[in-house]
Amino acid sequence: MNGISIETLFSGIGAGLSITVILTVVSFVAGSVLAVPLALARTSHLRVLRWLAIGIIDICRGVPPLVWLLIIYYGISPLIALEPLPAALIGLSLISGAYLAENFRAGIDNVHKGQREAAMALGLTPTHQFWRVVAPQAVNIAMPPSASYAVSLLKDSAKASIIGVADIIFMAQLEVSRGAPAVLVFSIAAVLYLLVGIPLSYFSRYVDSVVRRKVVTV
Amino acid sequence: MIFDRWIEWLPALLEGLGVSLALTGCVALVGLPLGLVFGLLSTHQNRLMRTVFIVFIEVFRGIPLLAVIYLLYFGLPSGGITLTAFVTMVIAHGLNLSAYSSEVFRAGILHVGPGQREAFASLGITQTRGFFHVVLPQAMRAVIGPMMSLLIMVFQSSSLAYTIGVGELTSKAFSIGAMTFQYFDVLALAGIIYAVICIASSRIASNVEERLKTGR
Amino acid sequence: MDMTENRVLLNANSISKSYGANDVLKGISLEVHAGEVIALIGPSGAGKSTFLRCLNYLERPTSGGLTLDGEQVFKNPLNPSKHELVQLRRRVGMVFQSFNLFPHLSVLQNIVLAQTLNGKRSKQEAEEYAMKLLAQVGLPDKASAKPSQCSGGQQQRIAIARALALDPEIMLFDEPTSALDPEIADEVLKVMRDLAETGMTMIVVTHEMRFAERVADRVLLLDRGRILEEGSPEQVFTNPTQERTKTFLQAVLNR
Ligand SMILES: Nc1ncnc2c1ncn2[C@@H]1O[C@H](COP(=O)(O)OP(=O)(O)O)[C@@H](O)[C@H]1O
Ligand SMILES: [Mg+2]
Repeated sequence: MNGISIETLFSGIGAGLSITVILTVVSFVAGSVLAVPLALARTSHLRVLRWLAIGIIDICRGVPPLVWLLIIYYGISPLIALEPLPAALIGLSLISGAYLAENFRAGIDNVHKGQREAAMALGLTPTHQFWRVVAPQAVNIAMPPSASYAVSLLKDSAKASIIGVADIIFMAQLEVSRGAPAVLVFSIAAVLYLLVGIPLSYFSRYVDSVVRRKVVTV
Repeated sequence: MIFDRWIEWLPALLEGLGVSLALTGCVALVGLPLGLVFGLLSTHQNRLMRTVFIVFIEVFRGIPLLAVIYLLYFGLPSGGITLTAFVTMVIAHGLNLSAYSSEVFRAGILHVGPGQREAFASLGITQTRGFFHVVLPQAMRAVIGPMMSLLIMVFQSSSLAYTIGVGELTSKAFSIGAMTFQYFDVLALAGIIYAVICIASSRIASNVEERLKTGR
Repeated sequence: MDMTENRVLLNANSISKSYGANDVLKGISLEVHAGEVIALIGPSGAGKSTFLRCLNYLERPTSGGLTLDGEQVFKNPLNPSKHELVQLRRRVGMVFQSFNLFPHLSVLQNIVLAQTLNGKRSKQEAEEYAMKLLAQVGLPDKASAKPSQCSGGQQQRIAIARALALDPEIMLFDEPTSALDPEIADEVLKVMRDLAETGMTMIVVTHEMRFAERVADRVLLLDRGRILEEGSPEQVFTNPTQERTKTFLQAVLNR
């Protein structure tokens, strides 16, 4: 087939692998950082903060990821000269921040009521009640869904190719434009996603089983 | 004023929204029945059958939708098959949805639990009849909430049809942006339209889910 | 052996609590003497838990006041400051029906946590004290276990040790053995009896009538938010004044 070997295709498309991994890892980490204050505001007893957080989370999740990337890259970046990669990182971090904030909130809500009461009855200050008793358990509860969210983030990162980030999909399109057969090229791209995604989802199941064992209370 | 422009663009965007919704509907028509079949096969008694379909579902869930769209869109013509962008999108997205919905159906079927099967077996009802009269109706109830969330995701991902020029909401917004260079304004309006629909329908979905839960 | 002193340690003055239109506590007053053990009995829904939780303000009374060791606990009981709340709870220990151990911490850390966070002891002192308390409740070898690796009875004994670690002046127990099998309940009741013998002031909500009979100095029967019957175990169990008390005792004893 036009003198293109599978090996050269693999290495050509695989050149985008590191960008895909960077997109996933960086936006997951940045998202986790954003998610903490959002989740705190979301569970605050101040109504204004709660509503503000709900608004931010809903908007981040209500607008499709692709539209976010287009808004940031075409709408905002001309003003501040953003390259595609940082634009995509900002967009994906916002989205993952909102998703992870919801996970964290569910984690906080699902810590057993008796835990906070026990901490109160021991005369811990409200700050200590939250950070030393509720938060560690909330993190445990939020971990499995967050780990499986990492898998969907990996797939979401493919949308960055649309604004010109040189990830797996972008490199695959490049090969197709050079004349390589599309079915083969995108199958290879799919295999590359699976190579990252399957271990990641096994890891997330592992996290789930570990946490299940750890969080059980009688 | 931005609002004047929004009013000017709104008809074109709403037309695009119509295409997005039509796309979502067609994808559901392909993806949900197919997902039910895959879901049933992945709970089949035959172990080989079960494994084959579980692997198929897992693989499909691991691949970004965009890769499937491009594979079909750029790949099919070289095999002599030419489809419109809309149909290509429906097939790609429908397959993608079937993998996700099969998981939901499977969970719903497993959720019914062996107690129910034993119950109809002890009443002398055949496997098949019992399945359709006892298991499936209960599974459907458990399935409705997650299914609505899936459809909201489908509506959001229909924006990927922009990449192959289907003329749905995102494509319309982007081409107005390209003509006017007012990308931010028009994309923001498109974003608001998406968000309003998604937020409203996910509120409805969680209400329905809550009611189904407390209704029993 | 009666350890009761004359000093009034805790005085609950006309405590009332309503949830909306539901008056759960209708003005309960109680003087608890230092070293006294009080058993609080009564039918389910009578308000026993609510009353106990009003004593450390896990539940905020609708009206009424508390004095601890002769001093008003709150300047304004209807609007307690955070500082006052924390101080009260450090002096009043509580043990819950469902143990509520912290599952993310080891047994030792469970007992150390409040000691160090409250600035009561250094980490090393707190650990030594925790080990001593674990020995006292009969679980010296569980220090590094996780709560989930302990049986229900062990968890409740650990919860008692955790509350004792703050050297409370009074201990509140809310049905500490109701979640346990009878044989296992006995190991917890034994720890509580030993504790009573050290002179600890205790209020125990319980359905264990034998425990109440043997260990309590005074039995209080709560019904529909009021104290229906009050007296020594002997008086209440063998010579109750109210018809409802008899009915209740029969129901409990015939279980
Ligand atoms: N948080 C609450 N909100 C509304 N009603 C409550 C609450 N807690 C307790 N109650 C009501 O107060 C009454 C007494 O409850 P409780 O003190 O738990 O009784 P007991 O411990 O004696 O069984 C019950 O009727 C219960 O329904
Ligand atoms: Mg109670």
